[in-house]
Amino acid sequence: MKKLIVFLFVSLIIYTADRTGLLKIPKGTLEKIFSFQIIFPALPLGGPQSQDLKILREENLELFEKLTNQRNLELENEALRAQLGAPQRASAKFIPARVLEANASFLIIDKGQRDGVKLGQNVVYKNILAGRVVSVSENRSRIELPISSTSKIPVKTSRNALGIITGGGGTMTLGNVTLSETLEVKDLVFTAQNGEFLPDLLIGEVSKVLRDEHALFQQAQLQSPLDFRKLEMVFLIP
Amino acid sequence: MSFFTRLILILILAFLEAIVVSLPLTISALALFVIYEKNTKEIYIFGLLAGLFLDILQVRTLGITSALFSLIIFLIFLYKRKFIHENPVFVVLAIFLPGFVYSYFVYGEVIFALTWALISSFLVLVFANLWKKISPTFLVR
Repeated sequence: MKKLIVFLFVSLIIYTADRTGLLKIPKGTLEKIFSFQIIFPALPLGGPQSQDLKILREENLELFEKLTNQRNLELENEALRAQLGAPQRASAKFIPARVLEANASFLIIDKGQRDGVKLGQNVVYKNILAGRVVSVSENRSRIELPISSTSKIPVKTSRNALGIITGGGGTMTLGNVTLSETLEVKDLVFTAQNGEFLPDLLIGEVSKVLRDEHALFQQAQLQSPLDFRKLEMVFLIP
Repeated sequence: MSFFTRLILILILAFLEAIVVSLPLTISALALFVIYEKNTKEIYIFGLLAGLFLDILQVRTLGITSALFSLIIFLIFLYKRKFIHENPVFVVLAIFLPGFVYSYFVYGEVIFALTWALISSFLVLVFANLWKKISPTFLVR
């Protein structure tokens, strides 16, 4: 019991010191030392087929990106027509970051406070939402993925149905969509305007609609075009 | 195995856990040491250092994981006295449960935590048995 109290006390002191920024220098140095990315070369088991699959995935991502851009242009065009002379949104300067670790809940990237990363920043890859910064240190940041069980994102679909995406079990579920709204397979889902996420960032497409006439809301399963575990690079939107 | 050999082994596992695989290898290995080890102070030191190392690599506030490891180590020691500590059921549970608690703490998902804790326990037990065959003094001090 005595040893437990001693070690808990030591942990508490370290915790307090870190929270107050006293350990900034040693922590930053250690982070830099271990700031390298391990990429495992793909095993040649699948041969040319796996290479084709990779190319197809890349093409698919590019098509999603083009689709998002086209939709954003249409929206912008509509808005400009409605309000002639409205100022255009300044093009964002993205901060590129390497992914050091990726798992089912979060990504660790090699950019931190020193590079201008701030809490809450949105993270994308090819204009597709990869998550949000939830923790920042001197040289690293932690990104909460949309598939994380703690993630909740207000969204709208390409048919303008509003809802909330929750993560869990490595998947995303679109909920809180009223029965009067139309929800179909292949509908695209974008972030809605709110305090935490920038609007009109693509999240994924509806893969299955779960409609129960006795329920108040309908649900849908979503599929992201991104394979979060295989991301090697992401971009932070300032 | 000497103090430094085990410390390096634990730190390598922590590194693998943080960078390569998401399995709770560190806590499973610590639990294994707790079961066969008499010197509790050394294991608390391993827990503290491995916890700090994991916090740095996974961008958490320093000290959180160390505190959790200290609590888990204490609980295994506590129950080790009540059970026949080399009973296979106790060994499996004492390695699996900490892995599950830690994974749930990190990822917040029961299914993932269960799967990863099972895989991690299996790997640690297989590794420990293999090492024991190569070096019979493994885990005996």
